[in-house]
Amino acid sequence: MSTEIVPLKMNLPMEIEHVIDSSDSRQFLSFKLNHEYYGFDILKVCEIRGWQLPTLLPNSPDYIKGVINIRGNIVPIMNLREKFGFEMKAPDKSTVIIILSVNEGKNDRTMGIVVDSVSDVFNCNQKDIRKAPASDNGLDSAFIEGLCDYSGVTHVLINVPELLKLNEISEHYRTSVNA
Amino acid sequence: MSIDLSQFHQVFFEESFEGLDIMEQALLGLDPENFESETINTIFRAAHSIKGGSATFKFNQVADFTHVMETLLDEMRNGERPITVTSVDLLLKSVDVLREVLGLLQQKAKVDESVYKAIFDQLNSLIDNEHSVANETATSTEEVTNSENTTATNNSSTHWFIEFKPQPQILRTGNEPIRMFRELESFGELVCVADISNIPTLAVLEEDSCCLSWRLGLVSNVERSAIDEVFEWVADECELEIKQVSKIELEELINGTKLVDAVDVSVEQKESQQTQAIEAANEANEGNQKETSNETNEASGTSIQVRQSTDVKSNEQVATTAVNTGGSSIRVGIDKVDSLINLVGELVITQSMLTQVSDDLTSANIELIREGLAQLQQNTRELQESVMQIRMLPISFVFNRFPRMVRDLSAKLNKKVELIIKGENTELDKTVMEQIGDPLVHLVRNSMDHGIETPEERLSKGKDQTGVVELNAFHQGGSIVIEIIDDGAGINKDKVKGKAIEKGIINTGDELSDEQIFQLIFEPGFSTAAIVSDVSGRGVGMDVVKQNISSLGGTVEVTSKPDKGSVFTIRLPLTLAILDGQLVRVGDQIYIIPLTAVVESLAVNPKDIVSVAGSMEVFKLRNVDVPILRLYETFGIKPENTEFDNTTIVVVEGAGFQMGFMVDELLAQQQVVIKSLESNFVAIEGISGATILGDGRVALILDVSGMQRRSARAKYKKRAKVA
Repeated sequence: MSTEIVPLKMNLPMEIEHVIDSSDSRQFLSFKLNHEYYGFDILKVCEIRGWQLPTLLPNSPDYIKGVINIRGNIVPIMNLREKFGFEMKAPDKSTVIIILSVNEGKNDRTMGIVVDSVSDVFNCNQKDIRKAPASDNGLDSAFIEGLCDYSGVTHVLINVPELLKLNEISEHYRTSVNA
Repeated sequence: MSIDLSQFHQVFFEESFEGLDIMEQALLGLDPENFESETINTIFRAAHSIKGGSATFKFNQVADFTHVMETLLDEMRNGERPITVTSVDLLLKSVDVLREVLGLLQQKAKVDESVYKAIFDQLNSLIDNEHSVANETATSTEEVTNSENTTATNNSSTHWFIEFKPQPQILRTGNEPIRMFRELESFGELVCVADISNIPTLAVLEEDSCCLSWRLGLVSNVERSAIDEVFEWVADECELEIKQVSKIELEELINGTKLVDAVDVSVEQKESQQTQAIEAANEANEGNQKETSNETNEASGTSIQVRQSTDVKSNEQVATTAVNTGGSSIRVGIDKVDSLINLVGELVITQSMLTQVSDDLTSANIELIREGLAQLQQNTRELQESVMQIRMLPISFVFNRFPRMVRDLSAKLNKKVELIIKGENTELDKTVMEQIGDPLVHLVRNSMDHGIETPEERLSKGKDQTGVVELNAFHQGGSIVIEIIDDGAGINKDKVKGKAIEKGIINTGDELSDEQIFQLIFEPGFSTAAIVSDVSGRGVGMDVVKQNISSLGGTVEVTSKPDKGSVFTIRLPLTLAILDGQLVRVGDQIYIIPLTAVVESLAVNPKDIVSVAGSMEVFKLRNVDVPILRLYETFGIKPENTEFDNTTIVVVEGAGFQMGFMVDELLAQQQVVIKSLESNFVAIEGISGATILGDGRVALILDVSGMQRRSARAKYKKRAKVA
């Protein structure tokens, strides 16, 4: 009888080790946007918040919805639907803001991303990530790290540092003068 | 025993730079004809501290360099060397060299010999010259200054007397005197006498307490530091006396115990003389060290160091990447920290009182809660103020660089200038301080170059040939005022006007008030200096000064009288972290206008609004035409009202002119904490930052001059479109 238990005990830590240790396995936060599934690298995700009305930033690009206060930090909010050129959708109960953080030199920079809903966290091996097919319509391919399948659905993995880049935004402010 | 000394490097560098500043100031105050020995002592102490520190951290180049400086200073101190302008100049140059070398070391860069070689040789040759001339007079002191060399190079032995009286508990801490004596024995010949007079009777004797004390005689060529090291672990558990003595003294001290001596008598005689000298030197050194440490303690008001860095990780990063800015820590007086701790104590009391009251929420308790909240408010405000105090530093940190600059510059310009500094204890936020330094340097250079005349000119005008530049700082209201006053020629209005016309800044027919003319010197590309020098005259400078000051939220004004001089007045906010703001509402958004920019708020009769050129609405306020900016339009938000009947106009002033902001409602005036937008986002013109309101919402802080620039551009574009 006891012989059955022992291998179980042995197996458990091995499995955990597998999840944590193997360097080519990564975890992603899966979320939904316009009936499609996407994933953020979980290591870039700080927290997930319910929708809240941000303070408007004047003359910002349309996809920048404003700023919110996260424990004393002023964090800008980007609507991913608008950023990706999808149809607008009024926030509802499942709308969430995913707070992402990227390391930039000495400091971390934080931004909130509005998505339709979050669903799951999944593991994916680096080798199972496929390159996204090149296409000239749809998303800017720079934002896409690759594709992978999870529970039978193809997820688009987002390149978070690329998404959070501010070049385009500062260019917008530089060229726009309210006239 | 190995301790990672590199963790102390930052502190060493900071202290060394402070020491160099002290030396520099003292050297500048050193009048060759009439000096105070205390001034030389100050310089000496600073040099000595740097030497000691650098030797500890194995920065031998610095240690050697300061050693030579010290030699020179010591001779000056003892009156064996006259203090001449050349030697002071050389010492000043040495300070510069040291600063450079230390800077390189701080950045972990390799220090090339060429950096310090020239000055090092000059120092050495100065000392050697003096020696060959006055070899006769320099007897004991020469030995004093060379004492370290002597002890290090002398192969013959010196006599050490060590009195070691451990406290009774020494054995309990695991220290074994015998082991230490064995170690001493390894240095040379050791004679050991135990004093058993303190041993109690057997009845009261505790087996683990040490009742013995020892007198030791050591004949060895070992250095003092090595002996100190033996006793390092027990230093605070015993009375310890270590001194260098002559052989005879040692024998007396050891109580007649005969020391076997390998040295023959004639050598011994000489040696004893020398050791006496060395002993004197050591005593002097010891005294100095004590003085130095006292001095630093006093100077910093028993200060402690508070690291500004946010987390240990980033600290480490800074240390390893070695791109050290050095400004990462500030010294804070212990009294400031104490008051902070007291306030936190009060806050905790208030909080526990409120918790207690909230356990029993009845209407009878409402008054108590209200009281508690009032107290909480008070505590919070005090806490905030006292945290701000920590960032406050006396402005002398900035002012101290000027004596040297004025000295160098007056030599370069062949002008005689006296610098007067007033109000150097006025406190100012560290961030503001860091950014005001360069503008001040510009203004002082400007005053010396353009303001102060040459001695001949001054004499012909009936003035004293020495010009005066005065730096004055004081608090006024919520801001700090810095004045740069010179008694020079003043600003030539006609020349300024002529130049401005020539540069196309103004038109020939323009009537300008004196004030407006003086403001012209802050225009970009404006310079009246006929020849471009490296002092001033490139026409960059004054506009940069103005820009820097306004980016700090300050203003600069100038008044001037011909042949009487000019006064530049800089007004700066005390801190950049907190701002008094007027909250206004536009639609459902709340904005904050800095109170310093608000002139007044008023309701305007729609009839008084005049449309100008179809693109601008203007109303008259006390004979000034004020353009109106509809904030909702600028920000693209949905307003409550678009008519003037129901809106309020907030008249603001920035960048020299007034403008009316149209808002839906005026809300409270309150202090807000400024948060940066840029830490997570990009800078937006017209917005200087954001803050968090009482309900947790974010409100944007308007930057008035940015808004004005923006609307000016918008109008230009609009007009261009129309055309």
